[in-house]
Amino acid sequence: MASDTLTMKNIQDASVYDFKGDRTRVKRYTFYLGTHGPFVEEVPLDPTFDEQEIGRRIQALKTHLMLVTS
Amino acid sequence: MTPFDPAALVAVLSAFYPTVDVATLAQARRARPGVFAGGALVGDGDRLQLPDGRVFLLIWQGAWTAVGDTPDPAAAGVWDANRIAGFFLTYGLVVPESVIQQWLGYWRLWGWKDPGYFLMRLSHAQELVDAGLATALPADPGGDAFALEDGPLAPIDDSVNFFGFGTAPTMESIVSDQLAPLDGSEPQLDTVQGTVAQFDPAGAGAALDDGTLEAAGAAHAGTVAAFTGDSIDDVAGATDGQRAGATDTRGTYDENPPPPVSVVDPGDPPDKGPGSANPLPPAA
Repeated sequence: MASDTLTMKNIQDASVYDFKGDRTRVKRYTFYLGTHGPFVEEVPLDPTFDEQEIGRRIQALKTHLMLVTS
Repeated sequence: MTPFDPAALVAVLSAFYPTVDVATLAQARRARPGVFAGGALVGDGDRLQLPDGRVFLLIWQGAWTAVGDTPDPAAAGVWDANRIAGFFLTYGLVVPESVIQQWLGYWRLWGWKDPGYFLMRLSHAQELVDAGLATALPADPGGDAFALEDGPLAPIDDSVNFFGFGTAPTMESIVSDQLAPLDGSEPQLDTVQGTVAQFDPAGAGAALDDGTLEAAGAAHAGTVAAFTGDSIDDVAGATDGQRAGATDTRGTYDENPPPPVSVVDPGDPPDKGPGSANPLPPAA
């Protein structure tokens, strides 16, 4: 399996808390790139959810993963 | 717990953390713990130790193309998840895990800030020397470099009588005195042994056959001749009339009992003496 093959395993809304206890609502993506992973990325929902953010992250991971495994 | 994926970790670090330093690594460890597979940052914070004991070097400081190169202090580090063992394998070294852990201890001891010293030690590794890639350490000059010197104290002389207690007989002298009377026992034992050796039991037995035994045989023949003609029935018949004369001790006791013996009267007890109202005069 090529390392750029995206396999999305789970997408869910979640909340993360910082050291002060402040809550941040996120959308959590769990996916594999080829045989590598699992990668867990959390895209903030507040103040505005960017639907393209997870795509940019996945593309960055693909690029660097190809550099590492090549 | 998902298995550790070094390539995924390096990809995450390279994609989202352009600054390569220990603080950024710690931040990544907190923000994305899943990709670290539960490992902990150890040492100077640039190494990841997994729960199974494996150690991965995450920050590759500088670039060394050959053993002995001096690292460029200005060179920026790069993210790497090269296992510590991979460092040795890079130079063609095949060493056991115990040696890796030992050298990792040296690495920690000397500090990551001075990797040149570590590489200097590595440059003398026997494997590299055999491969012609490094020089061997100078030869051992030999001898004991830390030999002890003579101290200011001298051992005590046992022959000196420090306290004036005199010289008690030693165990050796006591034993020799007890063995002195036995000095002449050896010739005596030799004499006895010679006597026993000279004794001839065969000759002694022949002498008995010739003299003493013939006389004993003649005496026995005389005794047998004296009994010749006697009958054992006659000897037994001579005792036939003796039964009537023998006292019959198995009959009933028919004698009169002895007369009774009167008990002797012991008399009156002795006088108790005068009473307390009429005491005896004091002794003169």
